[in-house]
Amino acid sequence: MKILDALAAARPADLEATPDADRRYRDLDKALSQPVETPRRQGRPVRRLAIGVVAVGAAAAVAVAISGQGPGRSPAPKKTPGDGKVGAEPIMLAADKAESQPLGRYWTSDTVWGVSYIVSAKTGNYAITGAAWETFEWTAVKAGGGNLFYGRDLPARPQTPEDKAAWRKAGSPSSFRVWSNDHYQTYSRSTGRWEADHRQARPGGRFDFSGMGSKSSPNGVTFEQLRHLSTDPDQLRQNYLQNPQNPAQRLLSISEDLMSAPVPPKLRAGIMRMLPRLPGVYSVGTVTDPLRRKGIAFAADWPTSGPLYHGYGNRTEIVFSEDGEFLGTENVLTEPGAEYAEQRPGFVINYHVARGSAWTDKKPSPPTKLPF
Amino acid sequence: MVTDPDAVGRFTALYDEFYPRVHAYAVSRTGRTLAEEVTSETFCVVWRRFHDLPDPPLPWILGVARNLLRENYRAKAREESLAAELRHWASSVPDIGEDVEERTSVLRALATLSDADRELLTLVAWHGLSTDEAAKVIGCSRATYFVRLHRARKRLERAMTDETPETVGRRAAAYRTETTR
Repeated sequence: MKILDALAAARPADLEATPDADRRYRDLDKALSQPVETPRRQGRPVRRLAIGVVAVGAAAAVAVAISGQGPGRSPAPKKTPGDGKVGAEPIMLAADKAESQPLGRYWTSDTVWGVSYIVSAKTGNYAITGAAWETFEWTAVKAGGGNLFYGRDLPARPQTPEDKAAWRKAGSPSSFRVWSNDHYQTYSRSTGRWEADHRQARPGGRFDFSGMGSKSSPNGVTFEQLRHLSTDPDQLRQNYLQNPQNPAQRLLSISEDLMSAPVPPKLRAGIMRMLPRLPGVYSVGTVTDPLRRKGIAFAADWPTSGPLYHGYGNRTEIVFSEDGEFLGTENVLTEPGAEYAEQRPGFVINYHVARGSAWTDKKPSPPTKLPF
Repeated sequence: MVTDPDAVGRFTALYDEFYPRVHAYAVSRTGRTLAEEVTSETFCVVWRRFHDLPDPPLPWILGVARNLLRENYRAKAREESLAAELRHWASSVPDIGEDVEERTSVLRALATLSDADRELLTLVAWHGLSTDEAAKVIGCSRATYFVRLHRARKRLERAMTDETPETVGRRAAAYRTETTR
């Protein structure tokens, strides 16, 4: 007797169920109201999702955001939430410097992701950056000119010199097994190869951008549309406020826009000027980002209650260089608690930073050098 | 607005396509009392980790459900819900065809196995997964899965040929010990 066949024949007929309309709506609403996390799976490029809201069924708010996953120690200096010591002036200066930059036939965007984890070792725990990932995308300004997205794994590594010493003491392991949300994940110290995502290549000419308010198209915007978009900070504020997001989600949305689209310098300057006018956004002052670049940051806190609250305080910081270059966002601990009870405020929980966005006339290819 | 409503569209399509499969898995693992809740929670995680979704997605999604069951539900609650489910299966075999007895016997024998064995067997026999896919759900290598499946099959065969009230009771006790430790 083939026992598995007998077992298959005995399968109860009513295991499957189809959700009724009410159940379906509640499930989708519940799921889609949660933030999407930074990618963790290794070895396959994935396209970023942008932030915003669309209707699902009757209506469901969709917020796609970075969320904290693992503890570690911040390479950035400690910061006090909402100190308000630095006003709008430095970001204005940066915005002024952003006015004059060249254009080209292709626009490239190179970004780096990372998540902090604590490795448990008998010789002493230490923090690493894992789930580290680099994406590179080029898009032709003209439709038909093409687009290609690449991804590669970056090596997991101890964060600070102290962490490096603890890692050496533990025998310099070449991989790290860490607890990540709901399972153990192993991150290695090797660098992955660039993989091009040909399946999702697009014809070019369009870019993801959510800052056009109700005029934003799901198919993206053309560079011409971006060029003609109002650069007035108040108008831009109005556009972004049409997306029902919390302040921190809104900063992530803006960050995604600046990473996904060739935002003309004047528009970028307008966006930077808009930041201090957004509800819930406050100045942080000077910071050092995970790629060790100095910049100036604005921040917004994540809610301290409700489904997005995970037992610790954190905020999203959006960072620009003093020359007006967009540097990225980082999710920073403000009040230790839950899995971050032993970390200090200022600890970077995770980040998504722009390694570089550039115009070029030559068909681009991803960089071979590591970002750190 | 979302500049990528594609993602939402793909997620809802994924939900519609795989809800019955995830529900079936949840029922077989924990009984229908908890199945809806587990399925709902599973799709929350799927959306949160939408960037990580592999192709094909089902083994990964079932792996999410499996982790949720292990981490978020007390063993006792699962055991009670599943015990009711096992009774339901054994008593509700449709009285059609020649093999009613055999089907009832298989289900009774299955009920005496450990939770781990039952999972190994049903992933392949009931949920239509290949051994590669089932190994992904369990989180082990294909080779390891084969070995475990082989042993589980042997135990199921033994349980079927050795099904007396006494042995059933003994195996059920062993099964409870194994699943709650």
